[in-house]
Amino acid sequence: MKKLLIILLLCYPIHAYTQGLSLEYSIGYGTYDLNDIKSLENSMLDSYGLKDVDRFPNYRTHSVALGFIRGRHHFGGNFSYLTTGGRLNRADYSGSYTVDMIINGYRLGAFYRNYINTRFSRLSIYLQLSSGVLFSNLKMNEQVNVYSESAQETTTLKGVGGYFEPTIGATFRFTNWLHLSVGGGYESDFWGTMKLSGQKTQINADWTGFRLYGGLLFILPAKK
Amino acid sequence: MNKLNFTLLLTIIFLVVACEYDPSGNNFVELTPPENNIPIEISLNNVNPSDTIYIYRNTSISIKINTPEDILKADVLLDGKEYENIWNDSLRFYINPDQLSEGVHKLTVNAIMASGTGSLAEMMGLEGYTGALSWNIRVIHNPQDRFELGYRINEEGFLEIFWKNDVPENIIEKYTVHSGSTANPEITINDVTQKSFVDYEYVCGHGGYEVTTYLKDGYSFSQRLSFDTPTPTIYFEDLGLDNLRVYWDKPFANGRFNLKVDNITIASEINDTTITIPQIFGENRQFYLEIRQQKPEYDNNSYPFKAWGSFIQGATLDLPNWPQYAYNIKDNIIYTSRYSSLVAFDATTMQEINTVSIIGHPFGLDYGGKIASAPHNSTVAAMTGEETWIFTDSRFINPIKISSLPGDGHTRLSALTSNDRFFVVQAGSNICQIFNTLTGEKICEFPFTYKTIYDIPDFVTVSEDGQYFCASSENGMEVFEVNGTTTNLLYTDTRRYIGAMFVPSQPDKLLLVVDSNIEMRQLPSFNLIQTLDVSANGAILCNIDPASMSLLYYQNDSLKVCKISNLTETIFKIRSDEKTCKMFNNKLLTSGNGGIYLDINPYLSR
Repeated sequence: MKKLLIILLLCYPIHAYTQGLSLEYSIGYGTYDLNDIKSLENSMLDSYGLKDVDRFPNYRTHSVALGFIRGRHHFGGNFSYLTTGGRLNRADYSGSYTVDMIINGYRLGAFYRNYINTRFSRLSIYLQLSSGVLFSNLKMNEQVNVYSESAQETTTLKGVGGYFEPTIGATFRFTNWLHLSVGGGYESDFWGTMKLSGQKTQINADWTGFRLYGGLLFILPAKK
Repeated sequence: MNKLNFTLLLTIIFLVVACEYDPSGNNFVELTPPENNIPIEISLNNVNPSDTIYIYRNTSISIKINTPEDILKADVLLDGKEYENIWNDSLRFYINPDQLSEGVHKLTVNAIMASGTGSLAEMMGLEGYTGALSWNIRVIHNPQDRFELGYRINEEGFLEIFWKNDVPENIIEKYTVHSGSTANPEITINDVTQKSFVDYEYVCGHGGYEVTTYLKDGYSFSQRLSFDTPTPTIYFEDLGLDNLRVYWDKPFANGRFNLKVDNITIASEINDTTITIPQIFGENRQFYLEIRQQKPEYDNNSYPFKAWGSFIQGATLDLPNWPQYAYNIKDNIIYTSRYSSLVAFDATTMQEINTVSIIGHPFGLDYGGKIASAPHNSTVAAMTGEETWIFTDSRFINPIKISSLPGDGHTRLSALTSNDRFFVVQAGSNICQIFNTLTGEKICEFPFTYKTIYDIPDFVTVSEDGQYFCASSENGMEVFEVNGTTTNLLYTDTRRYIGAMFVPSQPDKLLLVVDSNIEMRQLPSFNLIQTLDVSANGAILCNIDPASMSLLYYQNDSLKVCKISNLTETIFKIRSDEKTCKMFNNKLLTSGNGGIYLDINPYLSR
């Protein structure tokens, strides 16, 4: 099926559009600092014999960008979804105690991308700057099952911060309306203090880290 | 195309949301589950839980929990409510009975032990062992105040000290009974079911006891009992002329009695409380009752209670010893002497009518002679140690005093006659003096031959009309007829006389005790009218009662009364040792023992 799609794309007549609307979806991989969140997990260690069996690993990202291309310039807005988590667990014959901490980041910002032509006409290098707000949501779910007794409690912390991310990447033009895009950047977060039930905490949702992207860029040509 | 883009956007968002991170991994620890049961030992003062713990004072409670596992928590519950917490395997605390209500409470020890597995359930307190043990405790407030002593008489009649204890027997070690009256001052009772003590030593009077309860834990409390029961009183029941019942209160407990009368034991070691003894007239009988323990082995020499009583048959005129008597039949008055006073009594009621003090120098009537009263009027004469006082009647006013005529107890004759004369024969004299009672002047005197050496009975006598005079003695007698100031010897002999008296109101009849007979002689012939043989027992003349015309005489151990008209028939007889009694208006009167009198009329009517 994938092969059929690639063939169709390659066989499609190629037109070069220098101006038009763009829609880009990228899947990526990110590294996350999240020091405060990890410290929070650490503080719960050894309570009732809990061990951290999952500790906020680097994980996939999903990004969507809507923009406008005009010549070498490409700008617009983007949305990224970041997610990772951790787990504390203790289990024996009598039951289990699990604390799952899932943190999601919803990044909404604007970008500007500048393309640099290469000798290979289908390949362009670009430099991009992106910045915006980052909404973080930490959901802690404690689940205890001991013999016939069970209990569950969910705690949610929310925070809003900002980010700045320079990126470098390249696009490969299959057709005038479909490009393959890859890139990599480094996201720096600021602010991002989390609140519990509206009260500020000392925990920052710091997603700072490297980002890798790969995706497809759809271009809707504009009439001249 | 726009729809396509929108659809793509929604698809992307769904994918994003669906791709939320899912934490994974587990930390399963292999552990061995605990045993179903483990041994837990809970001890409380080493008391078996089936036994009751009695709390009557601040009591130390010591709890010890032995278990192979760690004690997580232990509580002491009192009636289901937390009372103390135990933080390790032992606890010591005190229970104050005042903080708890009287009655039974439940003390429970609850213990929670770890399972020792280290499991999550154990860490969360959802796994472990529990043990509980309960004891009944009974709170008794102030047992010493509820330790009651009492006393009663048991079925055998002995004093029984009994007690009631709110403390149950199983915690009592012993009782001790301390008695102030027993020879063994402290008695130990080890049988705690015994709740009484019989004191065989107690009979009556004060009783003081202290009973102490000793509990097995060394605690003790005492209660004292003090009481008094009356010492028996002696009572008398006059059963008539012959018998007297002497009885006394039964003492509180059984007793044993000794009864003495005038220092002579008449009943010894008796348990009865009544005894009948013979009567005797003329004595103030002194009774002494000694009360001892009924069981001789419990006799305590220092113990005996004593009771005294006295009884006289008849009544007393409250006179000193050896009073003189005279009787005036006209006024029905008995005259007598009380120390230095002349006293008049109504001869029927025996109530005192009047009294007059006759003080002399130095004797007066205290050591005076006889008293005489006229047969025809109210005149009464009293001879003092210095002189003779003659009163016209019982008003005792304006006496005529014959200063040269003293008298004493040995005066042989002192008699007033119906011709207003006063006949006197003084002690040791063989001369009869005659005085005028109206003037006090001496009329005449005349001698006689036979004078007696005895004071009693009357040996010298004069008839009521003053016409005849008789002087007798153990050597013989003379009877004179008195005419004015001269005398004429009517009769004389040398028989042995032991008493002579003219019959009242019958001046021509002379009663004599001669040899072994009582003779009634008619004057002036001296013919024998009556005779009574007293050879067997003898007889002592007392007097002739002018009122009843009865003769009182003493014979053997009795006073006897017979009509003067029939000497052979004894109409009254009473046991007595009094030989000097007189009888006036049927009243027996003693010269000794303070003037005891007895009205014999009730007995004569029978």
